[in-house]
Amino acid sequence: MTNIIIDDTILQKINVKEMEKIMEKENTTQKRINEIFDDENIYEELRENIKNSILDELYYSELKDTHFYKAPEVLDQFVDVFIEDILYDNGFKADLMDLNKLRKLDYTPTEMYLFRRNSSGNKPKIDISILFKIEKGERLTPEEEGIYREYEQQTLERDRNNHLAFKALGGDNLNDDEKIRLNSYLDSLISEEEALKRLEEENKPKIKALRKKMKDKYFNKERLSKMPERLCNISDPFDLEKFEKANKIFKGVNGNTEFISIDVPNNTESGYDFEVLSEYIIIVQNMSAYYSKGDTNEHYAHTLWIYIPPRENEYPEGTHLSDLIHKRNMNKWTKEFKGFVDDMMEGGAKIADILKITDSILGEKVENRGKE
Amino acid sequence: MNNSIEFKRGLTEVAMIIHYLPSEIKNKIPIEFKKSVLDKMDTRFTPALFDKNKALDEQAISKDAKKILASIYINYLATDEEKKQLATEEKEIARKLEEEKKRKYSTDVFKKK
Repeated sequence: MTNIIIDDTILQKINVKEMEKIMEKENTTQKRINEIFDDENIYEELRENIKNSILDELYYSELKDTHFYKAPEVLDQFVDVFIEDILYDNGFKADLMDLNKLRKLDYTPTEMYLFRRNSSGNKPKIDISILFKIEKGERLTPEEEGIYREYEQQTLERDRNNHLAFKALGGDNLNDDEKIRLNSYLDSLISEEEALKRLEEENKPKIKALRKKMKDKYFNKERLSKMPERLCNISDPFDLEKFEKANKIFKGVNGNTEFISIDVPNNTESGYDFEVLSEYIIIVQNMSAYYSKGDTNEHYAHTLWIYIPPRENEYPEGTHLSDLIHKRNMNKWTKEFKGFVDDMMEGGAKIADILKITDSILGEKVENRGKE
Repeated sequence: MNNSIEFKRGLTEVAMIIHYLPSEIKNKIPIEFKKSVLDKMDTRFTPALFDKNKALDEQAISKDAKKILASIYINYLATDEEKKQLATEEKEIARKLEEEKKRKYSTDVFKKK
């Protein structure tokens, strides 16, 4: 069972002073961005778009044949958690997925497990500075060694549970022991769920304040300036005119929208894999608070969703997001294939020679075709 | 067809890659070709596992497999526009190679002087 921290320490780990400093630096752009994010209508649009993105992502993933893809009500819950998670800057919120509700919706334990896993809820937690120390070959204190051993044990256990869940999903029959283990694991997740819900209830006022501060923190100039160059080329995040346009784009739920978001360093682990979308929904992956030290914000990697208008004439009006994904997906693969052609041509090969390879594999038929 | 064992193993690798391609790409490759690959590949050879998290050029695949994939691209995946672009690139590369030759030649002459 994963060892989720369920006391106040998560909130205490957030460096409020640091955030306040950032807030002091607030400028016009900052205010404008906040206005956009404070608009409820925009939020609804954001929600809808995230939902569509997730649907599309699931379509290309191993989960496409499961209820996750088919049941919009579950997806709604997921999207809510996802957005909350982004705003709170805390992994623990992602753990608030209501597994009991999922059970009522008649999901198989495996599907519940995978859904839960997808929301990044079951990762073992460790202070990331310990992992960094190990990476650098530095010596751990006895206390740190103990923590790391426990982390390793939890990781092992998680992997075993993953294996079990996938085994069941793959149609293999679990033996009695395995069934007991998987069910007990699911039960333990539900207990955590309930504990976390209590935590949320107790901390509501604190969370509300934190939410506001976090919102400001995400959009501070320093972090935005860390955008990869290629993204900066697409849109200058401080260009108010572009944000105005983005604001309008929020209103169009037809998918005629391009997403960008902002990358930050140390994006080492993530509960969300949006590989297919990554070209235009650059998700700055969500990294849980319990992976980070409060005073070292650079260990955070957070998700931001910023919408910018599509490049002019790139997509006709009314294009659905799934079509964009399809197009981008095609582009991604064909580009990779083309890389091999480029390599060969640079090595002196002629197109005609490259063409002959497939013909030679087809063999006789092609020779006959030539004779006709 | 190149009947070397290396080429046949390249076909095995290509068969594996085709298996992992998204359907929209896979469907563009004619069944006839896919069948030929399966017929002619080295079935005793086990290629390195395809890593979904890596780009194609980062996969552990042979030169022969890469050549076959290049050919698949031109024959089945590239649009007419992309083919035209390739032809232009080909000319450009040829021009550069020619220039490079000339440059080397003229440098040598200069040295002799």
